[in-house]
Amino acid sequence: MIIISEPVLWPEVPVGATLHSALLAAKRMSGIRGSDAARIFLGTPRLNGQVFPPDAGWLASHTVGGRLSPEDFVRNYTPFPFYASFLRRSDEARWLSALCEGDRASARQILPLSTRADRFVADRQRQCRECLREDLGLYGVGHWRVVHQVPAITRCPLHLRPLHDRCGDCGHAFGGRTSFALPGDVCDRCGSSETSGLHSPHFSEGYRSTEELIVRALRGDASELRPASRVRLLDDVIYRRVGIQGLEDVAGLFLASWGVKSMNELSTALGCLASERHVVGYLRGVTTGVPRVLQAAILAFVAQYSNTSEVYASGRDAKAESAATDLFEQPTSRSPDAVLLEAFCTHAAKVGYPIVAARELAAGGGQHSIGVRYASLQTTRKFLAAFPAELLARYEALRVARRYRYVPADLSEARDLIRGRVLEAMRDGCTTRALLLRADGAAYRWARMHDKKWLDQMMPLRRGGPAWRRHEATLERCRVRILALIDEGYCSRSRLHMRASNQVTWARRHDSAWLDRVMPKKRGSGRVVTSKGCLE
Amino acid sequence: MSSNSIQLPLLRASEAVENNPLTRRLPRFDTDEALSQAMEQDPFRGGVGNLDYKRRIPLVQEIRRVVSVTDAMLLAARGLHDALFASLDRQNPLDPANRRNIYESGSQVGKPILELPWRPEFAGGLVLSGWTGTGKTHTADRFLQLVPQVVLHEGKDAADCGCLILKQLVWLKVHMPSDGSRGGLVIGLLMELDRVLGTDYVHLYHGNSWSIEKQLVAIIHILVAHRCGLVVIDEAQEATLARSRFGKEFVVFFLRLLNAGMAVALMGNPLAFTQLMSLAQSQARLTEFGWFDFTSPVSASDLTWTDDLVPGIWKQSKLLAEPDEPMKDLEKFLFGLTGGNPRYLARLRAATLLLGLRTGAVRVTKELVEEASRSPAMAGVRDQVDAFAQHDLSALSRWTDIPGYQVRAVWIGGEPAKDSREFEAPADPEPQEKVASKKSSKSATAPQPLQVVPAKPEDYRSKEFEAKLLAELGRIAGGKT
Repeated sequence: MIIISEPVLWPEVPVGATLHSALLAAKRMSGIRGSDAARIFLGTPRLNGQVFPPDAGWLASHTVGGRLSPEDFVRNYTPFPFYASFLRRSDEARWLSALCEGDRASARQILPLSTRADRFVADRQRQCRECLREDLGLYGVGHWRVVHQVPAITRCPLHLRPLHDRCGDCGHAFGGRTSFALPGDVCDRCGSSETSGLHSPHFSEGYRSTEELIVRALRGDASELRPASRVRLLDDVIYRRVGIQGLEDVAGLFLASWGVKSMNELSTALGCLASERHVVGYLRGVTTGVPRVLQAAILAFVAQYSNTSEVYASGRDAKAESAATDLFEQPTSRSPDAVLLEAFCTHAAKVGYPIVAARELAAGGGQHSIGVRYASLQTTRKFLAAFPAELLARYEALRVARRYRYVPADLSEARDLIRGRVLEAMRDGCTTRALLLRADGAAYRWARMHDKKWLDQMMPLRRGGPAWRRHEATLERCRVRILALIDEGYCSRSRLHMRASNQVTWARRHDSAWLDRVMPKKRGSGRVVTSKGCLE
Repeated sequence: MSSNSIQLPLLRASEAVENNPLTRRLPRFDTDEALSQAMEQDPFRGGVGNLDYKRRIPLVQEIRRVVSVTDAMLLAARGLHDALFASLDRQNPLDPANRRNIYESGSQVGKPILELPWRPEFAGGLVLSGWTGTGKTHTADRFLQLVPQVVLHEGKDAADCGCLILKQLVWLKVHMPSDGSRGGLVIGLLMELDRVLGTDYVHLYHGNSWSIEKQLVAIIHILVAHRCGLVVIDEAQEATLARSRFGKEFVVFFLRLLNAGMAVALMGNPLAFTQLMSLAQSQARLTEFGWFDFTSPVSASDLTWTDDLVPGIWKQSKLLAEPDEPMKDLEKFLFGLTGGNPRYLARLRAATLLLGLRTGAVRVTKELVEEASRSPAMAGVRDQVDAFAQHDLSALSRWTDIPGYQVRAVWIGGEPAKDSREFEAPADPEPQEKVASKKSSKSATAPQPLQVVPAKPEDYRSKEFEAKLLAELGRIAGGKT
């Protein structure tokens, strides 16, 4: 058991560096091995890959002896402020408390971050060369920054330089598999100190507004991401101006603001999963499953244009321009959905029912699912029961209509619809089934179940063909190979096996008669079989 | 080019030294007078008051803490002081390169010492050489007491060092392992580090994956990370350094420490440094801040004996009711009983005081001293005392760790006597100057004035002293005054 009675050494780490970077700097300064450092600093066996400290209280007491509080560690060296911006103040305090006390179960309950879609760290660690130069002068070692690791951020917000994420010579990621590298280290594969940047950084209007919002969120200064503000913002911009039916146009505008043409390109630019379902769903108020980086990007877009009627400058395409004009003009008449939503939200505010749940109900959400997510089922039923009968009837009608809105009347209509979606996905670059599944999983699954023949034609399986055909092909390949070797002079099974073990083994199992004929087994000890004899 | 621009680098260097956070809380002794005053220590100064004899007995051991600064001690302390501060200034964390160096050093941990890259610059070392009882360890210990061993940096101080917390290890003193093994030195270093810093490095760097070669690199890094300024290696003996089969590896390790930026002080028997001196480069680097020979006074008329040791150790330590009985030729008498060895002088005084306190003697008399010299406390070193007192070279050959050639050189240089009886009555103080002038070339690197000028603090203020010092400086510079 390693015991350090009191902290003796801890490096100065800039605010905004990642926790991983701070731990690596401390490990390097103290010269302690990785596993020991993890046990001493974190109380866990693993040092790498820590975005949030497993137990910030342990970290504060065992590394700096209380000179920094657990809250300091969580707020300054993790993306906590960004995620906390999406929570209510009370939940933020509870989450912070859970992280500081190492209560991972409670922390996960308050804000589950285990889904891959919601990750905050890019695939490769990124650095800014200017930040590195300053770090080396001030701290003696480079540090990874939290803001640089956000997948959507491709340039340094401070120096406005593109971030670098790979070795300039061999293209290897910094740190390789162990990720024990700090900025400024040489490549652990080729030893080069050169680095290179991201391929095509997006600095569109959408990018800039998202970058600004994320930087503010990391400072804990992005109140528009709070649930209440978010609801107000979306209500104001979306429901009061365009209505539910105009959400797809808003999604198109959102893409245009990022300078991309499809959701796949947007996914690449944001570094997280983005689909039309996500965007439209989020505008409608459904946050479940929507990555927070995407949420921030949408809100940045909405907030940017919420207080201005200026539309896109000249040079944009006519469609986007007209859509934007529609979007930001005052609506002449309000849609029934907007009326229903306003009534739901007003009533919810009166009785203390969660606004988010009320909006989901107005969007056609089921009582049970909403009860599970936001409030108890009993409370939801009470909320609906106390509703005016006229509005309640409209709500019921809306639910029924939405449930069957996209169900086609017959199979041929459904087939056409799904085929259209698959073809659209293929046009967007989904050339394999895996990509199609990721882009439009529902369409792929439906097509595989109900329209398999067409799907196989459009997107053949890689292995292709039935088993007997593959068997024939293998048989042919093995025979050709073995005969070629015999021609070369290989005159015993052992030598053949040494040269082409796979083919000989396969032939022995599946084509033994032929193999015995072309290469008979040896009988007795002194017999030599020539290649000529074998062939005979 | 204006004079300002010429001076600018020097002014910057001076500013960096003054702002160095590593030395900000350490006492600097820029003058020899200040250092000498700080080194002096006399626990008997205030007297014992009305304590009865029974309660005075434990106080006898306080004599070990008495420090009477001799010229050699002051020289060595100055060397240690300069080496320490030069090393800390070299490691000044305000220099970004030094901040980077910490991390570069840390990334080397886990590699064997042979794979450690050499840096272009070396710190300086020093050697304190002398046979047993001549005051090497006493000098180093007293100097190190003046400088805090650990300084905890927090807040702005730590931020200047590039840290949030830094426990600065100003100096570290360890003993050479008695078996002459590198493993012993490694364990000794790690245990001392743990004792001083409150860490658990022994367990961190222990196990099958940690060979001695790797442990040495880890130790160098720990010392670098804690900004150690001075590593003192004590008890270097012939068997542990020169004759050890790892002697060369030890020297390489010491050079690695110098290369990492920290000063190294080697203390021990002159015989231990033969391996060290066989390599010109290592000799030059390990003696950059001086080679200090500690020897016993040659005769009873030696100025060190008459002005420093006897007054400082013998006359100051009083525990009996009345002052000592005046004794004619006290220095000569004591020289005969101790051989001029400072340690044995202190031991004899302690034995005398103990005997006096136990027998209820009122004062120290000649008979009491003679009786104490026959006590068991002095019995173990009687042969050594006789050999040194009578300048008997053949008797000295009994002890393998006393370098006869060096003792003989000192004796001959100090007093060219043919007969051992002639040693008993040296008359004039002139031979002391000869000793200084005929010392080995190694000691010639040390500043000369301190070897001829008495180190009495009050003397520094007198005009006579100033005139004498100027005359001496002129004489050393070529006799132009």
